[in-house]
Amino acid sequence: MERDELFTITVASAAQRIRSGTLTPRELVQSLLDRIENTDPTIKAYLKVCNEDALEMATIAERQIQSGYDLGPLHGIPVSVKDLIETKGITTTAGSKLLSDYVPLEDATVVKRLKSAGAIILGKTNTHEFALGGVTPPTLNPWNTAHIPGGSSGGSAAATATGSALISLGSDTGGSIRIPASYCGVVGLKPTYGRVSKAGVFPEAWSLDHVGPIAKTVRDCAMLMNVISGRDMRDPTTSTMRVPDYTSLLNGEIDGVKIGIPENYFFDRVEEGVKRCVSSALKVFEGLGATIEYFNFPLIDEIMGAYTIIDSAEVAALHNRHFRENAEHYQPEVRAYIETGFFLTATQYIDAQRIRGQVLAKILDLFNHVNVIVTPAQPMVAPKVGATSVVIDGVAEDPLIAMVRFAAPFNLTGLPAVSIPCGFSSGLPAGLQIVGQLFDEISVLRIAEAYERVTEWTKKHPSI
Amino acid sequence: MVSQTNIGQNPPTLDFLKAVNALLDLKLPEDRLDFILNNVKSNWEFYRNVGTVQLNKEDDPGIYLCVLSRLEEEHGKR
Repeated sequence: MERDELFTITVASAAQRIRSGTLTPRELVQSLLDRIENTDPTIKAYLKVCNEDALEMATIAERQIQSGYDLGPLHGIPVSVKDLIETKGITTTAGSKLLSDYVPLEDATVVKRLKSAGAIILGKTNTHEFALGGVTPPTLNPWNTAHIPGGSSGGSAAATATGSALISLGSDTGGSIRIPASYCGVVGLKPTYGRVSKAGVFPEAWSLDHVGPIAKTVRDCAMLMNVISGRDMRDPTTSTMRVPDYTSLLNGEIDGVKIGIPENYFFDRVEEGVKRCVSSALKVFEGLGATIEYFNFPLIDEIMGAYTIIDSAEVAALHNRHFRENAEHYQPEVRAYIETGFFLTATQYIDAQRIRGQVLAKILDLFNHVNVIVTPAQPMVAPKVGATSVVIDGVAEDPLIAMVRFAAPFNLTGLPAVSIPCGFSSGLPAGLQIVGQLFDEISVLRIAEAYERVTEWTKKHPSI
Repeated sequence: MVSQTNIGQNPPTLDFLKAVNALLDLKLPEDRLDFILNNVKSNWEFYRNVGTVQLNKEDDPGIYLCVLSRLEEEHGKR
């Protein structure tokens, strides 16, 4: 692979080449910096690029690896980080003017873990302000710059798709990893609630927030998960459960796996092109020996009601103090979102949390019958920049509401869910969502990787 | 005025918004409350669904996290 083609390399391949001596971390970082220089004036995925620090860290990693001090597969691998995630000594704005000068004194736990594993922080990627939106201005979709990348981790997904990031960290409260992953044609994993620490990540809504990887391939996601997962004393919601090797079952074998397909809700108001891609994907799974079982997804209206209440109330509570003094400094749509949360009552919020237990019990019962649930990741491909509504099956809808429809149920329930590319519609990527039992990321990744192995979607790159 | 508005069943009114704004000192400009009311009403379609669920005394709001912990234990035994 020539240096100007390195933007297509995966983490797994780069790690292998670094160990075999055919690629150095410095060459890899320099190739990404070149790619950023060539593409980011158009795509605008980055808020901050750590040119000098990244090259310096790459030189150190190079020397360490050459002298036999190997910290593992991510040693010398550059990682881009959503600007919602604190990075020591590097501005972390959460996409807001209000935090434009904020330089954290400490890394978020996920960043700390990456650095301990020898990874190099390449830069900070754009997020929708405080992660409260699905557009991520000013970032554009690398497949067609007239379209949005999705959000709120839009910078991370756009950079990964462009090849100006090798892999990236994102966060997901109502789909913010999976939405942009779907729109940009990359892989995005929202792990189980409590699997990955949120310490040092600016919250959107505490009980719905998740942190996870956005990558070119499923294997790359698994490699990152191996490093960032596990109990963290700084985040009491993290699980004490042992972290498995997420790459261990990526062998393409899914014979006998039972895939559940919801007959209701998840196929209502879906663009025809996306439906076609998902139907083809189901045939691929059957060809690999999986069986498809149809079921009725329980309590879906109640799930979306509870999600909307919990998200709105927690967002309003979080911003409460600063908002009173600085409302005019928030983006108009973010301001409007925060304001609605002030008018919910305590009983509405508590009832929404009470419903959560009922919902989870019913969904967990489903996993006695199937291994995973498969749905479209999004009802549509990426909307146009500036779109104020999307029309599917003749029904006009707020784009943000359309974006969270299929994603948010798995924030409310905490279930692990991945979006993987499954085709194209109108020249834009479509995503497939695979959802697993709590703490069973292994099955989700295994089934996603088996699909990825026999299809070409993750090998396609935008022409920018 | 606040207690008279059954917010769990029906969308709030402009009077309710004004009262909450004053009571909680939210400092929301009066001329913006109409706009906010429209946004709250458009969310009501979602909120209303929560009011239709049969909740029992056993439906503790903390149960969600308990289910997660129980699952952790079950996985740990395997």
